[in-house]
Amino acid sequence: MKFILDIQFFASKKGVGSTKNGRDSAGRRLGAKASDGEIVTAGSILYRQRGTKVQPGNNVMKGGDDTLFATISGVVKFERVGRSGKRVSVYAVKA
Amino acid sequence: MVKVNVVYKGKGLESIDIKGHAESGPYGKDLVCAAVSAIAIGSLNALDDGAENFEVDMSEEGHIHLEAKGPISEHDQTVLETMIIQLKTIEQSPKTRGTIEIKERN
Repeated sequence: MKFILDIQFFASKKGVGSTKNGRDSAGRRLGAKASDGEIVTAGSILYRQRGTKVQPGNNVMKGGDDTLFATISGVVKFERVGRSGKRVSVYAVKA
Repeated sequence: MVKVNVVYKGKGLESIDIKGHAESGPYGKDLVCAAVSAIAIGSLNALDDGAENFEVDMSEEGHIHLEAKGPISEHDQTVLETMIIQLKTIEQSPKTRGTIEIKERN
């Protein structure tokens, strides 16, 4: 056979090329770090977030990167604020 | 779109030019291109004496130019007419319309 068949002889190579996408950063492991009803010590991180998905409640403060942490030792409580809001509080454990 | 230009000299064929890209799918999955490639290259192989009576230029991807060196045999005429009919079948089929265009002139 004199002429070899290239089955894509009349195909356009336009589509063939590299993609400029395909990069992504590592996951930031955000979210709850203590669960409701858990006993935590003062300074423990309760919630990692970007912005304030969860608001600081009683005995909880917000760090520079919006991280929520306990200011006293006690039990963690996730509470509702209004219709869709959420906040986290820490209550001292009665001895 | 693949463009096919057929030139006749009297009743006989003088030249056939098939050029372009079918663009009916991504490279490697272009079904119309596969059909046109198989028909065109298969027909070249069917010509007498390995197409010795023709100037065949396939140097450019997506382009075949076939030029008769002189009067062609009845066999070669039949082979090339069959090729043209097969390409017309692609041209006129609803699903592949617009991927190939055939023009004939004398």
